[in-house]
Amino acid sequence: MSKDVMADLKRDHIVQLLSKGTRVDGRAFDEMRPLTVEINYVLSAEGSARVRLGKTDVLVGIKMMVGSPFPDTPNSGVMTTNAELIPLASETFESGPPDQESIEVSRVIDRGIREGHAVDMKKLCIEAGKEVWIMFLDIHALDFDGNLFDAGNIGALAALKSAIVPAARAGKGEDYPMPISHEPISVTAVKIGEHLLIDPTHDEERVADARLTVATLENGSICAMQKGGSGSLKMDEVFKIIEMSRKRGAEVRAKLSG
Amino acid sequence: MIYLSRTGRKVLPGDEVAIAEEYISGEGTYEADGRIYASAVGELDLDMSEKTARVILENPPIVLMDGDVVFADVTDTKPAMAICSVVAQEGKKRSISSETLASVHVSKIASSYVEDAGDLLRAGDLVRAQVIQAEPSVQLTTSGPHFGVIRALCTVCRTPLERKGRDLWCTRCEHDERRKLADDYREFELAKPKH
Amino acid sequence: MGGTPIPNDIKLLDENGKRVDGRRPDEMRPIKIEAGVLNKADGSAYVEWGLNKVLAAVYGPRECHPRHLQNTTRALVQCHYNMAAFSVDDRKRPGPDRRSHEISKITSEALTHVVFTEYFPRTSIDVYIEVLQANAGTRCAGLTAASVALADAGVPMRDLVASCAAGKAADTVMVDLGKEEDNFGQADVPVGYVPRTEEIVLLQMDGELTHDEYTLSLKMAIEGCKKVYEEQRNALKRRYQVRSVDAVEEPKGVA
Repeated sequence: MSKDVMADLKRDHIVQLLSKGTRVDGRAFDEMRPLTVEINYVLSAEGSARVRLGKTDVLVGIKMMVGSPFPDTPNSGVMTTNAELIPLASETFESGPPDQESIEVSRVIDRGIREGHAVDMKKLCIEAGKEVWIMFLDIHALDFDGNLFDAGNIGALAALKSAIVPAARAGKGEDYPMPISHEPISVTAVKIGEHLLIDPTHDEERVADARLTVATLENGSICAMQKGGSGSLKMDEVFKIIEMSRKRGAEVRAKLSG
Repeated sequence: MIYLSRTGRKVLPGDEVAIAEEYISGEGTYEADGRIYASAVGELDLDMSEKTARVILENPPIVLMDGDVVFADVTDTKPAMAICSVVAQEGKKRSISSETLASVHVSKIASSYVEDAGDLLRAGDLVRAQVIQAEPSVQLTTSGPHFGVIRALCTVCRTPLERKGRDLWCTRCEHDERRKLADDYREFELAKPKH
Repeated sequence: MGGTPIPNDIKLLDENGKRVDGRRPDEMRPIKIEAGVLNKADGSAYVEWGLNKVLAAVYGPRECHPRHLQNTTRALVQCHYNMAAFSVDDRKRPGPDRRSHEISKITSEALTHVVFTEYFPRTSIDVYIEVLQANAGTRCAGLTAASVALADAGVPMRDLVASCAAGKAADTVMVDLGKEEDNFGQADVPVGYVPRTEEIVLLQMDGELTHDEYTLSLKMAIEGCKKVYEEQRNALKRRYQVRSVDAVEEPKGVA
């Protein structure tokens, strides 16, 4: 409750700055915060990445086990995504089972990775209809300053790209690298008043009217979207965000390959 | 045993800083078995004139004291006072570690005479105020140009009110309301929080 | 503990008296501590201890939630120990299980002993311990990190709590059991210790030890705690740039 009061206060300050063409941290509206990616951070995981996007810090780990496929996709591996918004990362997060916010974060990240066909799920089939790899993508927020969607997406992709399928340990042949087909990258923008800004900080996120996450692929196609917030977007604003997402997404993709 | 009793020295919790015969244990220290130890990370201050050993904390929890400038949320008004919940100390990032329930007595709202606290402060207002008493209960004042309401909502439709001359104006219901306003109502710059 | 047969390819102690990872029985795994590693928390610490990676964050003293837990005369130290799903070989289901609830409780109690809780009535001091990578000894690493995070948060305390375990594997008493020693060993004694007052604030034991073996284990664990304590203090000194001259004892007569 008390924190919401401060968000109200900050809104006036943020809007005033935006009308002068600047953000609280001095960034341009279409500029992301500094990004660092550290892969293989956790040895107990099959693949992992620690991503720092400004003051947001997330750790993504991938665990794999042998299990049964879903009856309707007998030739495909199974992917489960889970985001833990633990109170270590922010006073706005609470202990307990996942709330709507963390479920939305995990589902939006999952959608980008799944619909963007980041992983060739067919290659995670061991024996059709019987045995496939079950993959758990766990996203752990360590320090929260907004935009978990993109930090989590980048972490998930980086962790997948570094992951090794532990076939030998499970007695299913030799280990092999995670079969990656595409590199979907999401970029999130918020609308505050008339302004659109990407990679929002927590304060910007809190005062935003609306939010749009757009995941794009190497070829510029769009593979996942999520609009959030009780405000609205105009059609031209949607296209503007898609354009920013493509441009910044390509830069992030290049960084992950470099 | 040699005592490292030197002012300005950085100390850690559990460090021995003085003997209890020579000094009184002050802030950031505690006494045990005739000795004084640091209870937090900070800089040692051995005050010779007051014979007090203190540690000036590097990252102190916020405990409200007289004179502190705070932001408070008005939760209720009675004729004699406004009840508030202190949300933060101005310029500080940490949450408050002491009592946050506070009140503004009707005589401390403005320098002029106020009949009823509800005339100039309303539930839902956010005020900048100064602590005039921290113990046993927190008392605030909003008297003075820089103190008072910095953000208010329309009592009818809850839309943020805009400033219009000396009063506030609701653009939606098209009516005015009166408050004890701070000079930077809805225009103030957020101070950069310090850790 | 002690129930699992040792696989043939694992030798907990070789002919030269060296352990699986080459340590001597009285040798600890390398330990690295860093204070003030997170932005949002009021205080934080990171501990890398062998292959364990643990983060601790402190929020507060702040308004106590839920309110019915409020104590009108003291602050409540509330620890939450949690393991990341990917921190162990077989993925751990997210959320607290009975083991983490127990560790949270004993860690809270150990820290409550050193914190001046009477300075902050009705508040809560929330300590979050996140195990990012687990390799035996995470409760000791967690308590060690938590007490550095408390000091980093400026919470007044009598001293830091240091923690270390000792136990028995391959019929030998040894300090700071590693993963294989924990899995296939015979006993484990985790200890939380306040070096200045020589007080034990956390103590558990499982497995089987003779009285003499137990005495030796406890002594070894306390020796380990003292080493951990030095690292905790070094981490805080680095964080707050305590000049070496401050740490050096002055010659007699100068002060």
